[in-house]
Amino acid sequence: MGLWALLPSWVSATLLLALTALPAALGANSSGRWWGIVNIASSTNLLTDSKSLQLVLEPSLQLLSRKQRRLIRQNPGILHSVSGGLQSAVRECKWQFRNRRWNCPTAPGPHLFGKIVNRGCRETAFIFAITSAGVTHSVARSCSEGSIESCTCDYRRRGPGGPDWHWGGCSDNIDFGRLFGREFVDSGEKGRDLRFLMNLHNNEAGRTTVFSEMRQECKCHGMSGSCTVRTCWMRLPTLRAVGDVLRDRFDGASRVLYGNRGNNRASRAELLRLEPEDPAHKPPSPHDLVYFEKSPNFCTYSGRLGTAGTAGRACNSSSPALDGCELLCCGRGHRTRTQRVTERCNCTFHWCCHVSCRNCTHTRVLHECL
Amino acid sequence: MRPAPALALAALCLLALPAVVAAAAYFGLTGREVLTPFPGPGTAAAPAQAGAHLKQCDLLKLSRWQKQLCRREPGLAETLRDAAHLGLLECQFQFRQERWNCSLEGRTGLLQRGFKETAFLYAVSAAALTHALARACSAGRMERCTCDDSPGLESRQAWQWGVCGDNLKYSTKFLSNFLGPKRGSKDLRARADAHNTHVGIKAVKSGLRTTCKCHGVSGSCAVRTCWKQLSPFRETGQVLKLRYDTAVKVSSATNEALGRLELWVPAKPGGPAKGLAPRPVDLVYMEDSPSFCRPSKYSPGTAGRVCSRDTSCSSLCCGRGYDTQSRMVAFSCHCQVQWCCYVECQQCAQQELVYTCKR
Repeated sequence: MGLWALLPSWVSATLLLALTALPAALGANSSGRWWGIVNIASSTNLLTDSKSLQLVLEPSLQLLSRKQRRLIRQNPGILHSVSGGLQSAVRECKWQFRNRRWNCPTAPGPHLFGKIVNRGCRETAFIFAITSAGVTHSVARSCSEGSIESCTCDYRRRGPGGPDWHWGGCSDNIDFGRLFGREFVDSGEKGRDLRFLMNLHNNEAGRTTVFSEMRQECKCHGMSGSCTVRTCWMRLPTLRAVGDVLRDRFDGASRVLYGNRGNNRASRAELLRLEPEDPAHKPPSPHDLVYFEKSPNFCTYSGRLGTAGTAGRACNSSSPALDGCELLCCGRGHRTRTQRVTERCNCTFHWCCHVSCRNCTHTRVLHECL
Repeated sequence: MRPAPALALAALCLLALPAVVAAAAYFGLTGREVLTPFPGPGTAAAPAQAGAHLKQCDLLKLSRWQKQLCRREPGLAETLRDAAHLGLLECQFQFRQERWNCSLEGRTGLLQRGFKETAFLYAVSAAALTHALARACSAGRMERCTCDDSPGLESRQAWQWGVCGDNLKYSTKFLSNFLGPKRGSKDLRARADAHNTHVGIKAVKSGLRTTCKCHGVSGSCAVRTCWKQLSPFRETGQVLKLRYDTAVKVSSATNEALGRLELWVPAKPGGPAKGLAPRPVDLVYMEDSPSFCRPSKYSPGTAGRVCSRDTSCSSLCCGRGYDTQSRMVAFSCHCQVQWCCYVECQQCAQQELVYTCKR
């Protein structure tokens, strides 16, 4: 007994119910809110101080948390980079899943990827990883371009690097990109349950993939192109290369559970650990994507689940792979129609100066899921 | 009334079930096959085994006409079981990386449909039977046939040197009688099955080659002896797999001159306006295959299948993804020859990753 006994029972019950419901509501709304800034219109040449920037972009920035807004104020020019990175991530996601049942659909407005991000499935894991990678990649590149005032090239790489080469040029500042990415992207994850652990892990997997895919490039100097002196620098991978790696991680994602370390309460960080659902499976490494829910059925439209279905999708009738009609249409069959296409062909250059072409007409066969 | 060849080969496809069970029961986990020596005519054990093949014939799923042929020829029952086993192993090898991996589960449902996989089953079973029968002749397990006696190859000299050509001629002639008359049912499915059966037999024929051996002083080629020999059945399986990959879809068309149904390849949009008859080397099918991804009455699905991450996980797992397991594998390393004379090795352990399709 205690203070609770002094209150009427209905007050205690209501208060407990509110306390129980509140974290879940907050959690569901905060993950990935910052993706809504993907449509911010900005200009590279915009040179404004922090106050006027905040005033001009006030409505869109409401989607960011307070910490994220502070980070943007402290790093002038980085908002454009974050927004551009997010746009690149969306394009890369659509490319990597163009032949899958779930083809990374997006919608205008603050809920960029739809309801799928509220589930703990593999597709959500890829979304978090590719968006985190996109921001990290874009910020690191913007540092080298000089678009962000608070960072430059990675000048820590200086001096001799080996017996016959030395550091030079402009190494992409992946360390700043990772640091900012972690502070900015992860600050939206407020919670302690499995969903937030999953999101934090996948965000870090995206950043780690950008870091691990960096490559060293060199240039030779010397008389008549001889390689007496070589200058090397570290270069970011293309986002396509990062997307390829993450898509492979997506296929090999690990289904995880809370890892219970039992009596070890001294280290709280150790207590929150992700362990594979099947003990026979390999524990997820920092590079692996993790999930805890099975994917929904992407074959049919479902407003509740937020799936668009595969009806009307273009497919390849002669392919046994994922883009084939049998798999993409989920066995529902496909319709075939022919389309007359007129294209320019047999172009010739005439001096001087115009190009003349003929018009060729041929029939193209298209297959669509029923 | 003799049954259609379809029914005969369908039984042969199902024949693999008891054969595998018997093989597993008899040899345990070794998987090795011991060829039973054929008892000679004067052997004392002959009376005890006189009726053995009769009982074996009754155990097989054969038609009445085929059982008569089986009882008439001792050794045919054993050859039929060998053929079923050979066909099954080859089919499972050729499809080991595919979603349909020629599993016995779902075989019955598959044989009732006109898929590409059904066409391959008919072809590989006919090829295995042709191959096993030709080998049985040369091995002396059949009473009514011997070595290949082609007149052009001087078989008598080959016999003197101890070589024996595979008797493919007797094999194909016997099979045309065993599998039933060429003019079978007028059903489209029966005609397709007969066509695929002939594709299998033709694949074995194309693998027949002449092998020669030189004799003479110090290995000179003063005298050369040649005989016909079948290529290994693995090569026949590869040929049929290529035929499967390029199989053509057919429908029925009435031959107005002869007044009977014939197989017909419909015209494709953009191609020639008229349809074509399938070539004698093409496998034919009538229905598009299912995906074989989920458990169904045709296949057990691909959940839990082992795949190769870089090459086959993507298509084998149907987009469901793969799981990774890590296990320690022991192997011999740092082998050295100790005088005299044995090899001594150390035992090393290495971590190996295994990828399986998600459920």
